[in-house]
Amino acid sequence: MGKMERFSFVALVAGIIFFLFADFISWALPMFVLKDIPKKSVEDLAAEAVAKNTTAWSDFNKLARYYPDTFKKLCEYTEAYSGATEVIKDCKPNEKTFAKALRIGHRWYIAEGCWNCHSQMVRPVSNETLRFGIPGVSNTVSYPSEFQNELQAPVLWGTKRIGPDLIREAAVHDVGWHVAHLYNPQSTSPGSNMPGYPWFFEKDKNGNIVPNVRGLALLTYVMWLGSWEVKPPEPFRIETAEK
Amino acid sequence: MYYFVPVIMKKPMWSHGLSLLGFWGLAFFYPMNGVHHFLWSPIPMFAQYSAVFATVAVEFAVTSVLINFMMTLRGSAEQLKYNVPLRYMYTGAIFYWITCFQCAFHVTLTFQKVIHFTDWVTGHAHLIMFGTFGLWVLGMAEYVWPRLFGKETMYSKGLSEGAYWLLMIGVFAMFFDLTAAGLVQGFDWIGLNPWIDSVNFSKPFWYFRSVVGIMMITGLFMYALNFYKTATARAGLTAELRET
Repeated sequence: MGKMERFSFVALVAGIIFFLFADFISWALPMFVLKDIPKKSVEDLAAEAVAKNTTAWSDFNKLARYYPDTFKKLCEYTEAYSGATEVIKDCKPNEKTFAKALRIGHRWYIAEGCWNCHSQMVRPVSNETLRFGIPGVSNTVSYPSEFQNELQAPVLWGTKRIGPDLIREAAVHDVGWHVAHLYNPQSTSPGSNMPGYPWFFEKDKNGNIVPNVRGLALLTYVMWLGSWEVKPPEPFRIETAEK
Repeated sequence: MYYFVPVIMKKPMWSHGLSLLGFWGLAFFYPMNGVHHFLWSPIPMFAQYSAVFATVAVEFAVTSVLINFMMTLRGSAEQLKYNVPLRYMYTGAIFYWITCFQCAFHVTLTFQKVIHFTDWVTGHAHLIMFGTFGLWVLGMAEYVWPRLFGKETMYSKGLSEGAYWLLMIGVFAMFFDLTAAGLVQGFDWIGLNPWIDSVNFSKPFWYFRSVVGIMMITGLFMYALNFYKTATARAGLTAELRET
């Protein structure tokens, strides 16, 4: 028994050291490796999108133009859950309103459990670059720095795909498709088993069904996914439109 | 498990040394396993490789644990016929070994290409969480419950047996079904078929899963009813078959 006790003491010490080693490998070392990538806030992301004139920014402008009443409500809207506490006086599409919409949209993407069926990660295997990537336009495989921001905390990589991956969604469908799809997925994707989300919509004064504030924010967020990799298509470039 | 199995069978574990080896083996290798959920993700490769290595190593530790429990059972296997709590414990133990054996293979980067994001992983998680830890908890509770209320046995042998078989067959059928579904989905995605195909191909598996899910819920209701009846039975219930 004395021998066994000595063995268990050695095992205890080795166990504690191995536990620390595992901690080091699993989070301390990755943290050191990734420490030079700055973590961006939602405001940084919005400013960057406006400066680079990405598709996310032009899609947000489109939503503001299509649904002006909802957009006005977005400026006045406050919600503790998503940290949108500020009423924006200067109510037009700008960095501030864009950041607010992204924030609310991200939180409702989580609240509705979209991540139960949709992943947000393109792997370098299994033809995923062919399925989810846009040749010549998108840096298709997911890479660490695109996840170093506030809209990726908590991590939304997901664990199960029932629907397709969404991290390059900005390059796949336009905003009009998403409005119809969110209200009734079967209208755009026959046979889909995704439920409709009518509570993201309301009737406007003419009796038309339009996205409400949360719906508009969610659409802004979904159109933001992958937009940093997509070049804005020709018609939406301001210099082309002026000629 | 290490407490209840000797208590139920009224005999010590086969080997104390092997149980130490199992404990420290798991303690050594489990902490690095977390990253095996994120293979092929933008996590540094050294973390992914270490997770693969540690997860394969866990299988060896689990095998040593299983050998110990099986040798403890030796000579007392007849008890499994009528002792439902003990049967829960050993069913869970065997499911644990199956899960870890499967894990040692599908944690490799090769398997991950196909099965990540599919129902295979869901089936695996069901077998470990319900098939192993769930059944262990049910077995422990069923052993303790009549003793808490001063009864010698559970209220109904039939409810007890029925619940066990529904739960055991249900969870194992679900594991098989989801594993097959995962392979269908994984290869369908690699084949670049339209996305809706993978949903349509999965539907028969999901219907089957609903059926076995209902089986398992029925089993749990029977289990709960038996508990309720045992607690509220007026006369002291006596066991027809005494434990050895």
